[in-house]
Amino acid sequence: MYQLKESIRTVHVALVGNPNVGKSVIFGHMTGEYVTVSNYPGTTVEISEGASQWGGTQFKFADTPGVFSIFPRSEDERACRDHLLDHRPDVLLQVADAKNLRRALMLTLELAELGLPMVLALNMADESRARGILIDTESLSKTLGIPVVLTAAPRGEGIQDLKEALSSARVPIVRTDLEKETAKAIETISALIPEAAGNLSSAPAAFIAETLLHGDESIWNSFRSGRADLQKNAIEAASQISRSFARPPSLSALDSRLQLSGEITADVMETAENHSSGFLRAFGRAAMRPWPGYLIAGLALALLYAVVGYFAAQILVDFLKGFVFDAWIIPAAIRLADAAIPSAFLREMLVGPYGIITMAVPYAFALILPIVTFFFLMFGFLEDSGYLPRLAVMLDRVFRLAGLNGKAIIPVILGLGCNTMAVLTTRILETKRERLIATLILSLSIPCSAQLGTILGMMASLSWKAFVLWFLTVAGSSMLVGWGASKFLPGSRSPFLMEIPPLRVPLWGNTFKKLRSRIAWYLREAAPLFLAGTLLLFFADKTGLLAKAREFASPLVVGFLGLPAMATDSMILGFLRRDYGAAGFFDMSRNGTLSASQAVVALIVITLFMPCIAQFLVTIKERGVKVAVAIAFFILAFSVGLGGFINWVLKTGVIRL
Amino acid sequence: MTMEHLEPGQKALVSEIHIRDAGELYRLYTLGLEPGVEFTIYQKSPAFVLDIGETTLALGRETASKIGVILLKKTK
Repeated sequence: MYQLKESIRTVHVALVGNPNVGKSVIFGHMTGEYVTVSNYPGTTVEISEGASQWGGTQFKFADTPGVFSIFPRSEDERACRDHLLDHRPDVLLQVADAKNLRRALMLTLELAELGLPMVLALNMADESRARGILIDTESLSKTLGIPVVLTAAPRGEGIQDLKEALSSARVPIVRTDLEKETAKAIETISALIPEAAGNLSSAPAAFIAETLLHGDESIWNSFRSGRADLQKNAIEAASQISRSFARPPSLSALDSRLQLSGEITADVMETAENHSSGFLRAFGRAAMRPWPGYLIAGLALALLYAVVGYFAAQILVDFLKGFVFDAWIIPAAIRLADAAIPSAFLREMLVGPYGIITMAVPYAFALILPIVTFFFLMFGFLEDSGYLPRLAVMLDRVFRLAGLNGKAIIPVILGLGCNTMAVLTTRILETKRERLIATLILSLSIPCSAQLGTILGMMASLSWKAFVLWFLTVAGSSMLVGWGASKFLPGSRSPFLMEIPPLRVPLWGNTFKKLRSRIAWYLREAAPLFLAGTLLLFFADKTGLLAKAREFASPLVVGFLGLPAMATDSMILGFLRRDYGAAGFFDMSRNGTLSASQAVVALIVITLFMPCIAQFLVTIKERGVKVAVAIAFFILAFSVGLGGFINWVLKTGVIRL
Repeated sequence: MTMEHLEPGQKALVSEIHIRDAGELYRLYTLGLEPGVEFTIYQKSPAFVLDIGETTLALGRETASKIGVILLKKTK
């Protein structure tokens, strides 16, 4: 009977740890599921779950965003803490960077306050070894009272040991002696906790008391069944006691943990002086200095352009669209449809001017897919190399103008891949104000890879002056709008402070896995919308609504923007996805329907146009309906208004393209 | 003397941190920047970059100007 019970046991494991230590890689090894892995802090912003089974036990894993502390200072830290309280995992698997033992132990000491069984994985053991760091895991395990395992996750080193260690997880025996005054304060507040909390199954009273003393009231959200009035009392008591302190109690607790973690580290770690400053190290440093840093950034961009803007958007698209589709698949499909489908309506739905095979499929697979694929390939390479945080250093000053700091480069550059993912990543920014400005800039002026690729493809047939005009208008708009928002929104810019991970040669295995998952995601996300957009146009055309829409929009599209009436179609598509709208313009410019100045105006409008539906939904989720709707209306007015202005400037003949 | 006055290549010790905001201080501490810590500064522009043990940190001038330091020795 006992054995039967054992065989159906489910163990819930939560992975926690500092940012960028490899939690997601270990999660992947444990569950066989892939989650995005990169070399910069903040890749995981949502909690992923996965299951696996070995040794007769069912395991469920949760991968959490990286944190410095479980006394939260940011949204992702709060998300992690709430997960631990609300789900009360059976095992806490802390993943740590072996090169940064002390910081990891700081977190271990905090996690120990939760009273949960733990296992510590010292990851990146290969890198720490290479730097001459030796850690006595046995002695560390004794001091902490939990299993400690060395791993080098991307190589799969230590993973088997880690799996075995999960069954011998223990509640840590290590405890931090807090300063007398702080300890007393926690004791006093703890006395108020049990009644207020209702039940204490998710966290010990002392942990809740310390959290309140740190000034974080949101912990009560995990105790909804408790008594609200007593919870409020406890908050007040904590803030009163905290005010009587000369130095915030949160800092005093931090001091004590820093000291203890420093002592433990000194006991178990030895560093052989190691000054081998390899090429990567030197290059990693050079990439952050003005010289040759800006040159390196320029070369990186040029390489990105060569691969995505030239090879994918021109050579590959010409081949796929011009040769495979236009010369071969589409004529064949039309012949086949003419012969096999008697209904004219159905025939047109498939192969008419707004047909699924003539429009949706080539747009999705011949125009956009090659571009997205090569962008994500290059971008994944950049992510895994650890270059992006260096770019943040180089561009900190630029972002200051828009009320942000260099850290904002990460959501922005991810936005060049996909704005929907990027809006989620704004969580790594420290203040609400910065997250809002970043969301606004992403929604307004950061073209996603699909859009960017089609834009670059169109640029190829225009002059360099057209490109400069487009670039300056778009970049200028982001700066202007960011600057305006930073003046308008209360609060100040948070200081730039960022850890720079070591530069690494990307492992192709990871880069390709990430590419595959992103393409699959893109197809799932975008293809149905392409289909929906085409059907929308088809029915609008059939019912005469499209002609009416063109007529209705004519003063705006033809008069104000100076575009052909057909451009209305692309703008309708743009409401669904900006890249689909851009693909429409790309097609028109390949046909020679657009003049150079028309192409520039069209590009500016569609670059700045409405965020796509998926991005809009994520914005609602992250920032609320009001903000999302306000952003959408502002952007619609701004993009069309600016397009009209550029049209007017071009007509005056001041600038000749 | 604050971090702002150091030159690239110099080694120094953090003597005090003139930051009131508990949140900002907490971030600095958890990243390893605290009184008594030794570091090497590599550059000051476009942002300050320094090594503390195996950790490389980048920070803005306004933060650097609030970190009191004691110069240890010149390497250049």
